[in-house]
Amino acid sequence: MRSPFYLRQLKRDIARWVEDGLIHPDEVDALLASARLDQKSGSLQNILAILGSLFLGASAISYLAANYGSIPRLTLLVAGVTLMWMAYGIGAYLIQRSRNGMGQGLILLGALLFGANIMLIAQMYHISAHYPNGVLAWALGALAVAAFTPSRAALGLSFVLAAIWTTLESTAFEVAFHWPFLVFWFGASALSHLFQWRAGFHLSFLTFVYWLALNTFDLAERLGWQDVDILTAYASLWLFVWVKGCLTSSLDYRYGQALARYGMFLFLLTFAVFQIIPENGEIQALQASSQTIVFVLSALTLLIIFLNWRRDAFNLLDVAVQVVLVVSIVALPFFSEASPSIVKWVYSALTIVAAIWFLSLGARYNERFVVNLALIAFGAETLYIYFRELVDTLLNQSIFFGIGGAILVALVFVLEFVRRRSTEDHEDDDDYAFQTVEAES
Amino acid sequence: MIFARLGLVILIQTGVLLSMVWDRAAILNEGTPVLLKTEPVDPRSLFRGYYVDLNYEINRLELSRLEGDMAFKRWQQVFVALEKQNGHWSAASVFRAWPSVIGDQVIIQGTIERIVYEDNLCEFDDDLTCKIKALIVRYGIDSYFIPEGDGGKIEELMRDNRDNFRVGVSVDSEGKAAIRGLLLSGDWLYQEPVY
Repeated sequence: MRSPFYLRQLKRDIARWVEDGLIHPDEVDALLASARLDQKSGSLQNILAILGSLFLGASAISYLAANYGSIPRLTLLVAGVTLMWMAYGIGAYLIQRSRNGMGQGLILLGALLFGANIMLIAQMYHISAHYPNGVLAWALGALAVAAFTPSRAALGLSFVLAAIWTTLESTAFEVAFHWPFLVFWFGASALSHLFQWRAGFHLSFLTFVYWLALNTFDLAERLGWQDVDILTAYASLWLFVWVKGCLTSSLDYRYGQALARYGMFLFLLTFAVFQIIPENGEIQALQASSQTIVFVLSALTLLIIFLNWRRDAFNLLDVAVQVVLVVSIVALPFFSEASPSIVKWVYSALTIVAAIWFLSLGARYNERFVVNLALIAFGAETLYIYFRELVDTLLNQSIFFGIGGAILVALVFVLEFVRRRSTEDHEDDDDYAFQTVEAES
Repeated sequence: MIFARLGLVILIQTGVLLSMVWDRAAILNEGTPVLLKTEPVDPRSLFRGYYVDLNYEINRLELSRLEGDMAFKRWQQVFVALEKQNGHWSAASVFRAWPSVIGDQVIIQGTIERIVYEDNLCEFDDDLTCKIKALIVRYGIDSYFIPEGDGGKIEELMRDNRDNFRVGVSVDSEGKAAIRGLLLSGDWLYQEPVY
């Protein structure tokens, strides 16, 4: 992001460079024109305009909340609506005059003032019946502004308001499985896709995951699901999201990488809970509904793993680890029935395997996020094993870590051997993975 | 082009705001005025501003003392018939559907916030075979917004004049209610203009 004073500084520098003979005077105009173009698309002004609008919106809301008894209702209402019209009108004018940053800021202010007016009327007439409807009306208003202007800032506001709306419905009014949120979410997400807005994709994904978390237990109750049904369904879903993210990333879909990262994070988080389940009680067989979901998602995941392999996105070892993860999710209920006592051992070991594999993948593909997340997962799992005394005695614990360490060291030797065999250049003795991480850092 | 598109949005948004005002104004203008007995609850401050929580006598409906239906579900809409008694309006019966009006009764619409069962264990189960003792009903008139700084004064007045404090409410023909103002010993303490 460049300073607003960048152009002024650049002019001085160019004059000096021309004097010193570093650049030809004929190039000056082209350089300045290019810098001006950059300056126009610079986002500092846009961010400041958006922040300024948020402050002005907060100021308007606080002013109305102060409920000045001295101002007549009609005056207050006319003032609120006029301010909203002015914000939209001047915003539209500025956008038309190509002053997009400030224009968008004012459009956002208009959408905020629409909400302030709803609150003002609710305050004037002491309306307290089912107040989430007020937030829904505000969210719909912001979505309409986003669609018709078009305005990314208003779309962002509508996502935030929708999350507040569903929170109020689920918590204050205890609405079980608040599905109307999904209708709004689909509309807002479709618009975000149409805008090709990266932040919109994140907002869309995060609000969906938030809604899912908020409604998980209601949904589980309706379907008669136990913990194991929820966990296996979610682990399958997030693994599917991860492989799908990898596929779309290799197909140059702009949000593929972000999708893969979210999928990986949520998968590791869910999968790590598998080892805790036996401590909380008996694992029961999956319900028919969750079994169907897990099988369908697993089949799709396996298909995408195959496609990723065909596209050379993964090698055979990667494919093997992914297949093991898919099988371990599907096998949890069956496996636990056959030998419940060793479930926690097996899934602890599998969590570590998954973390190490993600680490190697991140290193190979130069993905610092994946490397860091895998390291955090590995560290958290090690600490969990150590402090929760997963293994009954200290001696067994020592054996667990000893075997794990020996396998890791052996793995390093095997990988190094494979690397040397497959690389023509034998002069470079540094480990590839570490080299990549260092280069990144 | 942007002006035309945004103009449409502005019209819709303004229409939504005006319909909110119109709805309330219609209740205040054309609704039947009733006085409800209330008890003060501490004033609270939220981002919506300062307001007093109002706890009406009709918020708790003891089914053994009322006519009407006996089986209800939480968050269900109910219709309460109000009758004038000793200068204020009290609940006479409660129904799941719109009832037939007897005499000068006024029907007010509410939502069941909580159900109190004869057997406390039933609180954890929505089993309709459990006998209901009382309903806690909200009518959308449970908050009274006040100018900043007046909360303490109103609370004090309400506490000192517990039996003489009333809330003036208008109820329209569909049972929707809107607050007209606060009364102390029959005199308006705060009276709400329609506009």
